[in-house]
Amino acid sequence: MKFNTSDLLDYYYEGLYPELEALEKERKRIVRQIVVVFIVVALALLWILSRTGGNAETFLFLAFGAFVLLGFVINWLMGSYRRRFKERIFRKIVTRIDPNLIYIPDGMIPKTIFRLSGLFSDDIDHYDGNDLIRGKIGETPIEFSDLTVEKETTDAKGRKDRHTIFAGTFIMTEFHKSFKHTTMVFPDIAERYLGVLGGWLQGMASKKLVRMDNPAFEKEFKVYADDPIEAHYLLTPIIMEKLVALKKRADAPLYLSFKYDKLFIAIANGGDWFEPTLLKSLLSIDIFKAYIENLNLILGIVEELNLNRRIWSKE
Amino acid sequence: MNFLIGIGVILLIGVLIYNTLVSRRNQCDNIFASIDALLKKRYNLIPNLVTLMKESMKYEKGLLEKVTELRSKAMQPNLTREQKIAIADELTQPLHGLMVAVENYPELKANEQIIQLMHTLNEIEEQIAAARRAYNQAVTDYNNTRQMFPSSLIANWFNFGPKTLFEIPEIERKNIDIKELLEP
Repeated sequence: MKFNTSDLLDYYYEGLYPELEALEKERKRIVRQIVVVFIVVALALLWILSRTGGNAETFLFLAFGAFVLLGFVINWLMGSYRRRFKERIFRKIVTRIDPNLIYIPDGMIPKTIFRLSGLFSDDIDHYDGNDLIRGKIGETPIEFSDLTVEKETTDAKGRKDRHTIFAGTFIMTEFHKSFKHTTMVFPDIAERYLGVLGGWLQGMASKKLVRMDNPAFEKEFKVYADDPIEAHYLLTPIIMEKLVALKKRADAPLYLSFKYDKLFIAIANGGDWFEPTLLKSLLSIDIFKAYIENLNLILGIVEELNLNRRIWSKE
Repeated sequence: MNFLIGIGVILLIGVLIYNTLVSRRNQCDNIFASIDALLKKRYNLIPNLVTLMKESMKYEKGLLEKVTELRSKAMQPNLTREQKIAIADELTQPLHGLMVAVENYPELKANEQIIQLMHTLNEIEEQIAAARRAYNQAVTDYNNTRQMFPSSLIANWFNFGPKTLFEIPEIERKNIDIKELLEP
């Protein structure tokens, strides 16, 4: 894996420049189209209002309709631009880092894997994701994608509401040590989501809360495990320090599950990291840096957590 | 009536505290039993390792003898917890010494059996370190409950004695990277 930010930066501005320029033109065209559509819709709205006398209720109803319509139009206009960006820019960045990495723009971590991690409630109504990247860092297989997982509730008045179960990057990789039981690490804020997680928490009752011997780690995380010794075996003092640092870098709640010989990591960062910008220039350095930093954060986990260190009997 | 309810509530709280103390004490004992099992696993590996190393190692005779001697000490019956841990601690240093010394013997570094043994030993060492950390955490939880009011009353009443923490030797905190060691 070649992860050199300045090399990638050069590549972005030199290797990808013609494509970027073409895309930037397309972006500007889309923005212009959206402005035109917006003006037309606004004028139409005003015209209808002037004809109907304009009470507040009709206005709200029409404004809502216009809002939805605008959303559809933007989505439609963005479609080919987004695809082109992912295929011609983002894919190239990914393979530049490592030609063996596979990138599937519409792919996602399967629902069964998400469920298998046991990190979140599996009472799911809506499951979606994109930007799947799969490959090996050294000897360690890694696979991740953005995910949006939601649960729908209906209140007494029949109004439907969507609650986010998880939105962010979901990673599946391997841990370098063998283990038999399940150990889970949650952010220390899990109680906040009690409402959504109610049913799932009951399932956790079989696991014990394990207190760890690192105060900084204990402040950020809560560990649940079948076997406290195994939890200490997996979460060595060094790994705990690294996780605290990772949480700081990711600046988002972090969930980990050591289960079935796999390591699942969920970073609840809101997801959709690798989308092209609409209102900002694609040529802006900050935009590119954000893509790279996010990729670096995820791919770096393997090195950070020393997952490549195969010194154990697990080969 | 109110008086009776009051007594009932106090009794109930007493029982809950008592049960907590028992479960925390059992947790300590459970984890210690695991340490014991891991130490036995470690001791079982030593004779093989020593036999394999003996032939090639010219300058490490002292280390080999020390390891063998401490192992037979550890195999004695009726050792107390503290003695078991003390011997285990004493063994850590020469054992790590042996593992590092392999570096100087190319024929040992190429020996499949030794590599396999060292991998296993290394894994057990890390498991022992983890179990000791888990033990200390369990003891801390137990001692806290024992000393805090009002559970301290019940602890004194039913003679829940204190438990001592095990010191974790610095060498157990950082593990030897065998892969690096074995690289030519």
